[in-house]
Amino acid sequence: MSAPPVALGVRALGVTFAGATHPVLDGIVLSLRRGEALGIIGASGAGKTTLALALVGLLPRGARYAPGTERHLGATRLDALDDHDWSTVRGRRIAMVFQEPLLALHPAMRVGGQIAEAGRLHGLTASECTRRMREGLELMGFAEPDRIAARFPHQLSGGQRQRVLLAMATLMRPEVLVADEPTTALDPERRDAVCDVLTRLRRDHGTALLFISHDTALLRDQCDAVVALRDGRLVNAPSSDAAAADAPTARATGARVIAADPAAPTTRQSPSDAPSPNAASTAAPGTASAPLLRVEHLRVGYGTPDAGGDDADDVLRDLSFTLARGEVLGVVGPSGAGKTTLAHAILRLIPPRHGRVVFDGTDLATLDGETLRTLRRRLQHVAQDAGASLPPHQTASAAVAEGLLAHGIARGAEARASAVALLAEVGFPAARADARIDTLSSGERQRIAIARALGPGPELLICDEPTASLDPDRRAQVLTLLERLRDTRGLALLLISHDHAAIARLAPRVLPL
Amino acid sequence: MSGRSGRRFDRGTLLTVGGIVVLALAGPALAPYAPTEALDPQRLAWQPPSGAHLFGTDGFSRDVLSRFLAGARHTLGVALLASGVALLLGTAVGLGAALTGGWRESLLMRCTDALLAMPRLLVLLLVVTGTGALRLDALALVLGATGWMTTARLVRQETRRLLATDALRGAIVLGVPPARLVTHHLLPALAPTLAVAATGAFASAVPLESGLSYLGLGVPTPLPSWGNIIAEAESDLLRRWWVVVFPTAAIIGTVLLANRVADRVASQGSDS
Repeated sequence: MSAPPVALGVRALGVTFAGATHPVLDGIVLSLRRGEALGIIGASGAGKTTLALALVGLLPRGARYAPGTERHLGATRLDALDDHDWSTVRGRRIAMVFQEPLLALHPAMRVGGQIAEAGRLHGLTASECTRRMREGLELMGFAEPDRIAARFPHQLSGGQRQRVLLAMATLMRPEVLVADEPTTALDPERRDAVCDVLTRLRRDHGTALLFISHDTALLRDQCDAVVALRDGRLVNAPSSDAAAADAPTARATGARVIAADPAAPTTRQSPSDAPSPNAASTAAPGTASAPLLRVEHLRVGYGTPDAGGDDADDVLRDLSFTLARGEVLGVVGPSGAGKTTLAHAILRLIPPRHGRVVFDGTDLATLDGETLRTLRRRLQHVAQDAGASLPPHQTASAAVAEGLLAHGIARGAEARASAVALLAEVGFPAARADARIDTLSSGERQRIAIARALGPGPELLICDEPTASLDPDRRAQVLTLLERLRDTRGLALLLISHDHAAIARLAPRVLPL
Repeated sequence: MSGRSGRRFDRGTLLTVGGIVVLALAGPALAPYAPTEALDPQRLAWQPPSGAHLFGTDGFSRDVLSRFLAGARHTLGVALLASGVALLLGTAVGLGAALTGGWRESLLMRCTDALLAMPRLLVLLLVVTGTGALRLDALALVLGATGWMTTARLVRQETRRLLATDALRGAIVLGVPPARLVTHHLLPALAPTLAVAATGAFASAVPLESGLSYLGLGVPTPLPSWGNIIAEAESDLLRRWWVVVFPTAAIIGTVLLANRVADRVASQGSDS
């Protein structure tokens, strides 16, 4: 049997950003056959996302392709396309799933309409669009596709948005799908479901998959071959045989990660800290003083009451728990369980329908604007889409210094120096402190977001999936950092994660949603 | 964006915009005659275009080309100042409404809607006939004060959208004070919207000023503006076509160009 035709061929692909001396990508060579999956692994900042964007012709302004770059999609030479040609290729023949789903979705359009729009642009009839949209949402594990289709992106959880993006990208059954960390925002079960969908696309439609991730085990499991991206070059490209030979170890690693889940209870300090909502609602033993955070009968829903929002729409129902000073509370739950909603409700970004959030004896709902703003110094947040939570046009040091300026902690050159020190504390190199945020990788932004939240010197830090977009080394670094902050600063943490190992390591108590 | 469409404006648009700016700045210096000088009312009135008078002459034997060039500054200057005023007022009202929220926002926006519902030309005519001939800066102020409402609505809508984005929420949760939130987060993010609003305001101010001047209520004669040059043709627009054609073409061209710039700015804004 002859080998299937090449779906995506790349030769001598190089990319340089304006003003940079070194190329971000250099001499990239890849070949991907129909139905094949190629995994690309690389550390934070290695150029993974730039590679993905270069393949779909969406490099940011100021980026240049190296002379001699060749990108072929089937028989089409991508380098020769103008904007109009691209619009007939992108989405239809080569599609991309972005790493930060919130940035890739239109905020003011219902997601069903956005998914269907992809089909309409490429000439499907309205009824065919709707059919495929519903089918796609079902495939992505949504039990009620119509209900999801009627929502706006901000009404979905991070994991749900990621699956919506996948449904959108696969609507036209593209020849090539470039997936940039498509599963990092997902819990293990959803991740497996999404991987199943990707496998089915490859098998049934011959879609070739370029799978970018920092999860080696996952890539080994999902892909025919895995290559590494280091300093803008593809290195250490193992042949399919080598990948196959590695596969047993990869599965073993995967199994160990899953095994950490049942093992988690053994790391807990005492049986009284068992992860039940009741246990979580009582103060941890040994803390006689008033709790730092007390959540009472919290009920939160989207859909405004006058638009037919009722109790059935509630994301959180009658949730109560307390958190002591210096304590770490893990919050776990499947995609869509309301983890991020809880964080937003505590931060008073969304009003609860019922219940109270009491921080150090103060009901946050009673505070006026300026009092609340002053109090925010003590209550900080690392958002789930950390990249999206930073001002894109600012430099890393300016974004971090802003928290110091806002609370009058430091000003001028002193603020900048403190910001650089904070960045160093989270492992962000001082030499890059003046890089604009929109030129940095998502792992780097993640660390900037942590440094920014630490600036005001909070007593409680709400971390929403702080390790999801990090490679294993950085992940370990961040966890160690959080541990150290807990021990040295007495920082209380509300740790939202589906990283069971991280929760097991840091959080003696767990609140399941 | 690929490099190709990262280009902001095509060369033609840039050249035309440059040409109009030069016209507004250097127009009077380029004029071959003094724009208000009657050359020879006996023999040179109503001369069609010729080598000596490229755009012909009007009924007072004034050189139309010179009036056209000098008028550019008045027409464009008034429109520019008017759009600046409209932008300032609209941004203040729109931002203020979106940031205060609640009943104050509703009140501000209902007032804006009410003002928007009044026919602008009618309001202008009432003001101008009430006050008599206005100085140029006063005329620009009046034009701006009647043209900020769409900007306010745009800015409020966009601000509300921005306030729900992760980037603004991030700044709010960090505890950034309201003033800095506006200067460092909202205004930079609003820049594309403001650019579109400004070009839109400019595009509507040019024909309005010309219309008022045509009616004799805008730029006071003998100061030339594109509108009052046309008015010189009196009732005989067809036979004295040269007095009409050149300023009219310039007005239409400027409006089209402003709209084209607005389109480009808008598409740039949606890319980033």
